Amino acid sequence: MSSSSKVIQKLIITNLDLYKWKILMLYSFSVFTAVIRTSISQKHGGASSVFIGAIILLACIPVFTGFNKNNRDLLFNSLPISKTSIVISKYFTTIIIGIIGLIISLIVHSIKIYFSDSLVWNINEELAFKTFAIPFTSILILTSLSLPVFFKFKKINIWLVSFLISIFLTEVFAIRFWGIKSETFTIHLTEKEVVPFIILLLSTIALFLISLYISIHFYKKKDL
Amino acid sequence: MENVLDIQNLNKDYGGFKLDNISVSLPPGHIMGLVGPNGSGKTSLIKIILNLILKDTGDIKVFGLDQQKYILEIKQRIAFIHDDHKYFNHLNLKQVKNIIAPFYQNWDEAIFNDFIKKFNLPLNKVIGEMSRGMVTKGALAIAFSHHADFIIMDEPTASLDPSSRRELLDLLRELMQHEKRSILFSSHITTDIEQIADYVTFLKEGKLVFTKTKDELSESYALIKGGNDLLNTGIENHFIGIRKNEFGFEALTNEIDPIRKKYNNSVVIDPANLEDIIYFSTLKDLK
Repeated sequence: MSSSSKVIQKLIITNLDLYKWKILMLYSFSVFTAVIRTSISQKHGGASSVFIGAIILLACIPVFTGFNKNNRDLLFNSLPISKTSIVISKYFTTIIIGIIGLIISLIVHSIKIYFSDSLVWNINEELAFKTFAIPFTSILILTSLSLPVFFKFKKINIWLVSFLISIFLTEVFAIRFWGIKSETFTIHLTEKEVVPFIILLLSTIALFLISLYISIHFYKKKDL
Repeated sequence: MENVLDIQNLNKDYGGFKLDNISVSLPPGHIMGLVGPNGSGKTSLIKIILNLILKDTGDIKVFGLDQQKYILEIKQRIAFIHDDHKYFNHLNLKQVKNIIAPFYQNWDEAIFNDFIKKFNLPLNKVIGEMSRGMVTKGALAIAFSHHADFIIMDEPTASLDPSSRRELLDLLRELMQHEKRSILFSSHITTDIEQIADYVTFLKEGKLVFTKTKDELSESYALIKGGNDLLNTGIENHFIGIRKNEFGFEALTNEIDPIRKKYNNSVVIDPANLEDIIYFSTLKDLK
């Protein structure tokens, strides 16, 4: 492993350690949300997880605003750490927090279905794929759109930015792109949807990499 | 021997404020005091040295290495101590050490523990509950534990009470006697700088007024006192700053010899301390 990968790894661990209480609160919130979801959304677990994903990311992006508020940026930049490593670590910390939150939320949701539904444990591969893939993709897109804004501006209401982006994504993603109507949520990923989804996933990864590149560029030019 | 810090013709324009053509050098094993009123550019200069702020033009070398190209290698040998510890308020010293230590290749746990004992610091007390003096000592312990050759301190005494300030300055003096480290120490408290600095660099409104050794400083500047009748003779052309009252004037000059030749019998020439120099230099320019 190269020395910069080790530094990024240490930074991610440090980020997770520094914000562990906030992250735990966030996960408690995602568990709570998963538990209280209504029987309607139980039937449509895949689509409703988009909202859970959005909520999780809404909560975890502002975690990083603490860097500016408390001059934590100044501390890390005074250590022998490159700005590129700092940016990459923030992206991956966000993704890791989001994914763990999603997994927790889905586990809790599945357990709830198991104990409360007569349909028992019938989550098939398609459902699991869609249930996880939609919010995961939305997390990547939200991260890609929000973090460059964070790295460009010193002070910004990141809550507002995240909220607006998540509203936009929910609209485009859950309703338009997937053809999901609020009255008729679908669970199964049909054959017709597989190719667009793979294209979407690849585009999302491309967006993520472009966003990372832009953020590194912004952050390298930023005066602290 | 190579200078620890070499800044040549540094410029940085913020729009409303700029650092203008700054050139400063610090030989190894010495302490440089960076003085100037609030807003004079001290913190900006320090941040530029650390590459936290990007310079517009000019050359900066630290340990003889280009400061932008070799910033990570340089930072392995630098410690930055500043006044704002808010981001660590909820952590204890051990946790702070655990965050910082992994990023240094030369971290020495034994030295850290020695300094913790020497400074009598509580490892498990959160930073927010520690006194400012203790926090600064903790930062010094961390700095020495990764064998920093160059310690940059931004206003480290600003929020300390007088006894803690004296204690910190004594400590720095003591540590400098045994080590070949260099320190860049910014402060607007001139007495602190006078006590420990070998070199004094004075910034005013982003411009370098002077960078000199303390001896050069005491030889270069003097306080001139005399009656108001002298003010019609052109003596003011030799002054940097002047304070007048109904009984006479007091002024700072860096042209001691011409004044001594022309006005020796009519004026009193006293040595100027750093505070005098800064006070008169920040008065409205005469020239």
